[in-house]
Amino acid sequence: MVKKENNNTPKIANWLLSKFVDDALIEEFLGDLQEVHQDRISTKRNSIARLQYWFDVLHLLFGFISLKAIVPHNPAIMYKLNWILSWRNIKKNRIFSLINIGGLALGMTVALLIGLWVQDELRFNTFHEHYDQVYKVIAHRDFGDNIYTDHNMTFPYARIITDEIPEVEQAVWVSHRQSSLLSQADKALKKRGYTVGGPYFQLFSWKFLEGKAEQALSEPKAIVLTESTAKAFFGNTSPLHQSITLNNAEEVTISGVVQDPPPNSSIDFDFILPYNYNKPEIQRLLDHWNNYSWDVYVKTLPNTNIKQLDQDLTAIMVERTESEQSIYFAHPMEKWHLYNEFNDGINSGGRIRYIRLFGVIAIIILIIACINFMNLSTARSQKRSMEVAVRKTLGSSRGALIQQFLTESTLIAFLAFLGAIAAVGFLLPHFNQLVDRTIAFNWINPVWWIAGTGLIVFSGLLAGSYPAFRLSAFIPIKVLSGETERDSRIFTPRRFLVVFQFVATITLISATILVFQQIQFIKNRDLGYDPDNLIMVPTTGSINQNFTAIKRELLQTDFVEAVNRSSSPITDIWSKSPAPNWPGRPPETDILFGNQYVDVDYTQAMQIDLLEGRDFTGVAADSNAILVNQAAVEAMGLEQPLGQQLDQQGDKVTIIGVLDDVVMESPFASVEPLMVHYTEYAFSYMNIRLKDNTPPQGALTHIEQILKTHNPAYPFEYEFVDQAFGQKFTNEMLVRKVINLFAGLAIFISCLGLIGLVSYIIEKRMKEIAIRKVLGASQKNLLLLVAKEFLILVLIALAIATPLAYFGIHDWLDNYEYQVAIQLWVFLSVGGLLLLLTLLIVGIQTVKAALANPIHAIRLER
Amino acid sequence: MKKKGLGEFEELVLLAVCILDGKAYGVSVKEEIEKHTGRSILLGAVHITLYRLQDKGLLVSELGGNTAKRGDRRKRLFTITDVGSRQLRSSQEVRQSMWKLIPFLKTGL
Repeated sequence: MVKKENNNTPKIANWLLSKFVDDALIEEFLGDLQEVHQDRISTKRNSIARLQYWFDVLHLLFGFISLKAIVPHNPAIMYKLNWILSWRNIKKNRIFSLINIGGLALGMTVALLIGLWVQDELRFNTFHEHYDQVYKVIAHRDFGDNIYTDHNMTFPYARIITDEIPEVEQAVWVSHRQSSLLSQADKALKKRGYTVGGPYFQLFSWKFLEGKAEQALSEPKAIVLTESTAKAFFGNTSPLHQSITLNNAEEVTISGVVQDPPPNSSIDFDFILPYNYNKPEIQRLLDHWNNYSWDVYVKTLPNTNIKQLDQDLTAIMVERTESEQSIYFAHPMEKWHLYNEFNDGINSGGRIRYIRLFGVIAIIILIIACINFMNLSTARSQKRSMEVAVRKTLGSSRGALIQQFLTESTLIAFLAFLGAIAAVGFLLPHFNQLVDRTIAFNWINPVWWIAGTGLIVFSGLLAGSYPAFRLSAFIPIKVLSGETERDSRIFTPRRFLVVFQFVATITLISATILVFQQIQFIKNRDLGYDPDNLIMVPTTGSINQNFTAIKRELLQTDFVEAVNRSSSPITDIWSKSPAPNWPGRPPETDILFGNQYVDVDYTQAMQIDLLEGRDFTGVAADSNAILVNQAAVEAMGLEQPLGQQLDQQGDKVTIIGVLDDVVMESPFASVEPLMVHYTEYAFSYMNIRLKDNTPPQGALTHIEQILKTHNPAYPFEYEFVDQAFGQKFTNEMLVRKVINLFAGLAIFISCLGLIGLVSYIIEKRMKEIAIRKVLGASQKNLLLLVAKEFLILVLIALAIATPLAYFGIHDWLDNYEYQVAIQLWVFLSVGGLLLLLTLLIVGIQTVKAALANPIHAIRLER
Repeated sequence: MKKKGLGEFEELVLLAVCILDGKAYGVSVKEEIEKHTGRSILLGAVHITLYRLQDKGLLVSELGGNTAKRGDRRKRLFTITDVGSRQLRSSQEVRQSMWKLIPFLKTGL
């Protein structure tokens, strides 16, 4: 036995040396180094000796890296060999490779699609030249209980801030988007657009096809059309300097044509009009500080201090209105699309939530796909251990083996990427339809190729890392002598990966079901009226004037049940006011009541249940009578609502009826108090209730004919109420559709992985199964033998996924006032489904093995 | 083998290997040279030179005995080849003949 002197040579230095110096030399070097070191520490301080040791090591390093290079060594050959071997391995196990590549390709397809979508969302509005400098002015208005955030500004505000705030280079004020009738020759079309003041086209870079941006709005009677609008009127002839009639009243001259706003623009329009200051009513607005009706956009100087700008914006309004109720601030263009929601004066995000959600899901799916690869590769390790052992015996280093495995996984990732690109090309149109966008894959953009390479390397390394390090660690003698490695740990990495995969799948499926349930729950909510068979027609032109005749003719047809007019659509409340005074009202009560103005037959047309009292009948008393909804009765705490007198800012009104609560605003929130007033003018909509089982197309043609005679100047416009109501679910429908897709993919990829895994496990235990069969095991026994492990894993996954999904969904549901109850059976049935699926997959594979003649398996010598 | 002269340090290393006669390895060569020249020499320099000389065919080596002091690692023992001896000798002869031509040495100053 050799007496070991304490080896206190610096370990890191030794490691470094062994890393970079040829193996043939390392023993000698380390020996010499240690010998010298031993001599030194007997005469010198330890630290000095160590320092000298390091110096020696570095010196050797520099000396012998160059020495290594002299040794003939051509890595290109090795790399080429790696690729060839990888390719052969892929071809050798066709089904395995197919599962692997297919799964990975699917994962990548999802990642790419989501990546494209996210990129598209992030690029919203970026086509504007002054993207970084343009802000929208928004105000937090403090109403005691609540802070509302709105973007309505006064008319002169933009001018004043341009003059008084040095940081503001330019500012424009823009009307709400208005619907106007444009007519030219015999063509009349309803189009939407803005009336704007200030240097509008210098702030926003809409691309001019005809005319000049600087002069387009300089004439008061000018109009700028979008390309598609211009085409609709003038075809291919140039529309420039042609005149067009606005709302049957005013002639304007086309001064420019801009490209249609792209789909990734927050602002959409068909035309832009300048303010005509020759009109006295516009003149008057110029120093009108009480009317808040305009959007104001500012362009700042570069590198503006936005905090200072916000203070100045507020200060100017405080000065002009002598009210400190509102805080004004500049909302940057990059946040318009994704961060447009405010809650209590704080930006609460908005669409960005969905982007994050989908991003996370995409990554999870990609990870599931990579886990599949790892699982399959390690499951196959038994087979490949021979290869590893032989290569190691023949002198392959561990590093070379790791390189080999990583090359293989990268090659698979590359093939998967090719598949994914093809799939994206094929699926993109459908995906566009799903998310309602026109996303294009930009093949030329180098960013995509860099990202693609990144994706290949990332998933290749991630997927290949575990097999590479595990397989290369096999000890050849054990493998070659047939000793199989039994992992007796309960939590082997492979089980961990399988559980992770199951957890992700269960979570996604449960989330899908619950999102679906929530949307169904809201949709099936008692709306208080019947949205089906109900048509809304905007009262344009002379509809109001000729209403009596129109109503009479409509009722004469055999498909109209009731006709009525209202000041706002049934799907929204346009007017709100502070609650009226009722006897016994606590002084500090501060709630808003919605207002709706209607004429006779309201309840009949909407089919709202009248809980008490009567509907308006057109009698004189109706003008100071109101209907209230149940929520209003409860808010006021009235025991006997009928006949109750209320004081609405001096007007005495009497409650003559109580309506059931009608969902007009958000279907996700509770119904707020509503007052329905009787009026004979100020209508915006005519509501036509069709009889049940009326074919809508025939009815529409008929209604159109009637309106053509009574309102000839305007085109027939209409909206089905159920469709208008459905639009309140846009975001939810998007989530639902995308999550459905993802959940489906997750299940599919997981199943692929499971099939591969089970088949390899069975292959591994083929002999065992055969012997058991010979000894009389039934097929059931065999099935249980293999399935047991997976069943336990599914159960563990279920136990982990249930709380995870529960809290995730709970979080999401917290956005809604009306929530579906989360039921336990959802998780249980998802778990059950997965269990069944697992059993099925295991079953098929096991039965296949169990049916085989055992002699083949037993005779086979590995 | 091209006819190429030895460097000074190469010559010292070769000489040390000859002196050590079969016991020459990195550390012993280093110590031997230090003993005779009084210079402090880097181990790495010795190694580099040993391997360069081996590449030139002047030395051969084999792995030899281990000691506990080296952490049970084997030494690489260097011995001189015929080519090496010839080269060393010829370099010695060159110097010798040149020494003889120095005038004041001739006169025995």
